[in-house]
Amino acid sequence: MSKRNIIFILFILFGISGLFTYFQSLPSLLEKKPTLATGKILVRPMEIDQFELIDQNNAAFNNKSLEGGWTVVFFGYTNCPDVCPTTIYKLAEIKNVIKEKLPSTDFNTVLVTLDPDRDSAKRLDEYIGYFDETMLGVTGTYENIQSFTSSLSVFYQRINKEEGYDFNHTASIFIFDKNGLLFATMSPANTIGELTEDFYTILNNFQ
Amino acid sequence: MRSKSIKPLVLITLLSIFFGQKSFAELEVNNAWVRSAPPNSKVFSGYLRFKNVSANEITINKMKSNAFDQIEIHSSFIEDGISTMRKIDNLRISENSEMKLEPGGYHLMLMSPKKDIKEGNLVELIIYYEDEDRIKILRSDAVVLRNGYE
Repeated sequence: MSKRNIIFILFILFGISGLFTYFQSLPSLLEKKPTLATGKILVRPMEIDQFELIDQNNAAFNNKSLEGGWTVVFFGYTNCPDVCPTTIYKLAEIKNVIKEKLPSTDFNTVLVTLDPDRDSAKRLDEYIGYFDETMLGVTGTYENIQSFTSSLSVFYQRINKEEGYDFNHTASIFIFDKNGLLFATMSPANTIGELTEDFYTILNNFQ
Repeated sequence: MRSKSIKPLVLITLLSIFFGQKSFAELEVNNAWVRSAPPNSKVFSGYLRFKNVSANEITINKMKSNAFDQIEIHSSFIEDGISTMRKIDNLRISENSEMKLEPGGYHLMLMSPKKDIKEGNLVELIIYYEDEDRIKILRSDAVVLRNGYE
């Protein structure tokens, strides 16, 4: 067989396998996913890199912790007096509505600090316990927090002030499905009503 | 048991109605509240509504309190998906208009509390503002609440 023929056959085989993959994934691509008013559902749920953090009770918080139920993760720091308590309050209200409407849903909320220097597990316990004791507060080493944020493309930047410092950071909240895969993102700047509606859409359609 | 748990709420509501509203000719302060925070918190946030009832622009220059070392006006906003906070040195309120300081937007940053700040407490606010090139002072009170008026 000439070299030319081999290349031709390989080319054909490559084309067939490409078509096969395309048709195999066609149903999932054509499947109509509901749209969200406050964010986006990913075309395919995304696996995220391995991470190793701890919660306010010093228990491990890693990829396994995201499995089993739906988890909402957002980023912040306890020295943020305005946006963080507001988001905690909104998520607590949403959780109450979801519990009422879909009582069998396992729905967890998690604050991951971007400020491990000031936010120890003890400080998070004090802070989270005050605003919503059903929420998890998560911290870790600087490197481990950074590896978790980078797998979600979360941006954060420390802004030094005359006294102390703040952070500019990605505002989105991240929704993980029961398999621990990233399923959707939303913007917490929306109203409790708008966010609740979108959470309901997700949980009602993808249990 | 039931009446015990309701009493503080009624008291807080009455206090907030009574102290949450202060007016001084051209500038009114309504629904002032400070979000309560866990023990050992160094920074608190405060919210209120300024109402300029005069025919001139009013500028808020400075705020003070006997309960905190420092008060600043800040603005939280989301730009290109990034949550950001900026200090506002002079807050301008147009003539005959209202400006809301509310969660997730313009707010007060109350820093370094001089005493324990607990739910139901009143926090004094001294507001220095400029009206037709004259510096005026308005005293008001904010009630400490877990969640505010909205």
